[in-house]
Amino acid sequence: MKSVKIQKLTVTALFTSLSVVLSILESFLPTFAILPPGAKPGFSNIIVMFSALSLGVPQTLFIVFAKAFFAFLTRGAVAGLMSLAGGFLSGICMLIVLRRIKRIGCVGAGVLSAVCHNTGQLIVSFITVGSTAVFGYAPVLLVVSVVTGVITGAILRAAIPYFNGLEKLFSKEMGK
Amino acid sequence: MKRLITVSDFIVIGIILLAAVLLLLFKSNEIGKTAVIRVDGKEYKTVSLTNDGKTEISVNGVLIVYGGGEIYVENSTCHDKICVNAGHLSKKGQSAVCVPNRVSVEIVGNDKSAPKAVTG
Repeated sequence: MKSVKIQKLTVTALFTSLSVVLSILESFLPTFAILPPGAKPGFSNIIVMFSALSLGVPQTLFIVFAKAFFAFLTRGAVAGLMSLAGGFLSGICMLIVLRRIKRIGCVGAGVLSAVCHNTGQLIVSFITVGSTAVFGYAPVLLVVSVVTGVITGAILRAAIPYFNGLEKLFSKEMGK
Repeated sequence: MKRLITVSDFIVIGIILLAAVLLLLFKSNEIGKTAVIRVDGKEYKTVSLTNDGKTEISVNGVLIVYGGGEIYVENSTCHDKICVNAGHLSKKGQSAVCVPNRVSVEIVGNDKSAPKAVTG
């Protein structure tokens, strides 16, 4: 029992660092002229999705909080709050969709996660800016969410065997 | 193993795209002649866009230019420049928002009376 706990802790730590690294890589992505800036595929969401799928509720929320804390440290309070609100909403959504709703596949989960992430960010922008003008971006963000969600969902599906392999490797090391 | 894509996924995507289209349809094509500049959700200035010359106004590190029927954010001290990339606004309901600097610009319509400012 103890070794299972340690294994979960190690995997959570590994995935937390992976999600932080991926969010740094995201910031290097060029902003496409057709897309509004800030609209990028959330690669670190792939980690949150996998965590929701196989690690568990506290682990997933921990990764979300760690990611938001990192954004807070590197990009300031507003970015941290936006990451927290977006990550929290999409994390909860992933936990429900990936664990409870069997009919929805990886692509659908990716799209829903992206939509929730953007909704959380829009709510924080609305509170900070204090103007309903922010909701003018909603239609564009919805379309962008579908595109980026399909990408992250497809990557998730392709990565699941490797992630599972990682987990198995750890269980072997722990002598399980 | 979770499947890559299911019929339900297509339904989900369809609903989201439909919502986006509906939201776009609600946007008016009407030309707006008045814009409200807000800082921290409070109305900072209401400007008329009908003047021919360009007028510059700087608020919280955001440089806004208006006149000739349009208004746009020329430059901003923020990192991601979403407000600048919002482009030139001329239609009612269009907006440019700078979240880091807490400044928003929104075209409100033709009448001089600006709507009540929404506070966060």
